[in-house]
Amino acid sequence: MIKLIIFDCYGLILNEGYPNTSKALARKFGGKWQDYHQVMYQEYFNLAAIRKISQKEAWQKTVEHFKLPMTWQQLRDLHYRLFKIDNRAVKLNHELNKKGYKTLLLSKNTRSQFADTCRRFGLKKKFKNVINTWELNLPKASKKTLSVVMDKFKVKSEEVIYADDQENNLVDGRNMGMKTILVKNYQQFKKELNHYLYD
Amino acid sequence: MTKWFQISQRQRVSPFPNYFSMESVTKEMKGVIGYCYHNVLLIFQNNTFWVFFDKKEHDNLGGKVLKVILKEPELFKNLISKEKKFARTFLGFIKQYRRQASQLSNVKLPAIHQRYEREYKRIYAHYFVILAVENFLMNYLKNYLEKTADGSRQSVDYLNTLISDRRAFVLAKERLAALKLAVRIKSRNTWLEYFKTGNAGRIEEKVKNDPGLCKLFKRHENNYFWITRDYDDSVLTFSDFIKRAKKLINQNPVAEIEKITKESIALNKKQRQIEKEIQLDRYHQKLFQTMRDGMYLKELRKMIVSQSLYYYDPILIEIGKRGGLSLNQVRHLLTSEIKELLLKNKDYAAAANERIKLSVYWAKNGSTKVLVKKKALLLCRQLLPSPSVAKEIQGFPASPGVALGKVRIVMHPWECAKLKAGEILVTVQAVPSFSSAIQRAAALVADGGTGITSHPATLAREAGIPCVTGAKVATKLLKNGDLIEVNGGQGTVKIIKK
Repeated sequence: MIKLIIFDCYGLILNEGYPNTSKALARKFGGKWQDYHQVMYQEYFNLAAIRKISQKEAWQKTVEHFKLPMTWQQLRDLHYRLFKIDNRAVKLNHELNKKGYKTLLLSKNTRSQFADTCRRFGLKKKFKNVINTWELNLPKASKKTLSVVMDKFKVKSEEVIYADDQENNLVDGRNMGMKTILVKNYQQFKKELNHYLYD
Repeated sequence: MTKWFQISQRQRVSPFPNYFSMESVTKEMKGVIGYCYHNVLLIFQNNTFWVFFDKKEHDNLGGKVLKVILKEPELFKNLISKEKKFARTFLGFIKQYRRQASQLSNVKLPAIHQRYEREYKRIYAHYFVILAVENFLMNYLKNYLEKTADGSRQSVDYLNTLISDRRAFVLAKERLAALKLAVRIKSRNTWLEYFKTGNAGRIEEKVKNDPGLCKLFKRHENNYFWITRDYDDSVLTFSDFIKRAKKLINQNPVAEIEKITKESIALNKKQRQIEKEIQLDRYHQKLFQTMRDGMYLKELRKMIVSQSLYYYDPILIEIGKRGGLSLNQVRHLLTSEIKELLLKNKDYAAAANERIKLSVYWAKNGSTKVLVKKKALLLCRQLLPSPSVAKEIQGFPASPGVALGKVRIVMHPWECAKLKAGEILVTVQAVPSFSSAIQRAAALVADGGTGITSHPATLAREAGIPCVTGAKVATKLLKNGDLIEVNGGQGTVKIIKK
């Protein structure tokens, strides 16, 4: 029986943060958005998320890598401007809570960026449980992180559904026995979630 | 109708400075050798390029240049000394402006860019003689050896040995210099003490505080910082050289130097033995020396271009800042457009983005026309190779040997770490920043490159692994994990299991 549903923050609740920024950069400065994403997110923000570099350095390194004619602050502001909250997912979260399911908003972000995002979209009011893995000093969705989550919510792995838009974030959860949903769009996510909850 | 012939393919490149190169071979080269091309096509797609020459023109010109070389076997020696002279002026001029880019006026910047173009073209026109003739000269030498040596297999081995030149192995040269530096450090207890502290940051601090040792590292950095540089790849820093020295100190550098010296002596000895065995006359000895000089000329050009691109980036970045463009966008503009961007404030963002997606730079008699959209797509469909379902890929034999292993496709330096020992590195064009992965690989397959004097071939021979270049479709046809057999002597890649 499912007891806990983990929502990925950037990708499910907030519209594809880094992919959106990467697409905007590709539109403005040419090239493939995947290349911007690879460098900005996979390379630098992954380092920032595990505290190897600061968030400021991650922005600076991205600007420097692509030799963009903008400051790191301008890139950061562009990133924030492009976020949109998916109200359908927020509503679904309320409904699930009403039905007795526990839900968790899981994020891997630097403290300052996550605090900015929470403030801007009121995430802490919309979600009762929020964990930013940066605060745990752990990578997102690793076995260790998911064990911490299971202990906190006193659930077993088979009682958890984990939804994320990045396949590599789901691997460890799946191996531990969690039910996983690779989110491609909201409709598909809801369909798969209903399948796990009610079929 | 023109029959186009693909001469090169590379990833992570831009039209700048490659369209200068192609303009120079359709104009300036004539002043160097008496002949030049008239038509060259460069196709760009998301920073990958394919270079096409008119087949008839290439064959014709190659034959003519070969005749010049057969008459004047010392030609490359002269070109090398000229290139060295040009390099001093060229690099000196760029260094002069790189630190003051932000203070240069909108009139001065295009003037600097024009000068860069002029001097770059002069360097390239002198270098390209080797590319125009290398296959012809190589075939001439191969045929000559086949007549004199015992069997064609032996002649290939002889050819590989006789054209090897350690001057062209830049990575090995840097390693030798680094080993010598390590020996000097080991010879002084105070210096050696610095390297006994575990932390690289602290070692660097101590080295910087010691003027004598710091000077040695600075000199080494100055000589070799560029060896991993290729357009966007980073250069080696002072800290990188400190870390390398730390490793080498622990590896018995004296023994390593002895090993390298022995290898070098052995190569020379083997070359002399072959010359004696096949009774190579003085004239042909000179021709083999010419081929070796040609290979060195290629490395020399690479050094000059790599350094110039590094030193010139601040100027291009500044141009980009003033025009609201990224470096990559600026690198897709022609010199005349850069002038208009700065002097008339013309917006080139959309044009640059279109070119990044797909564009053809058509160099004709020293000037370039850029094609995009339908016209570019049409040429692209006609000329770019499409992967078939073939079980075997035929390329050029570039480094001898046979290896069986799993495919690992590497397109960016950050993907090098994924390559496990014994896997076969498959790429568009191997560059020096791939060298650590090449050392671990069982073999190397490159879509680009023309033969045993191309960069992947040089890197593979340095690592002692089989290599096939000019595979054209390998990165498209093969997937990570496919089992293949690479025959570097025959230039074939067999797909064993997909």
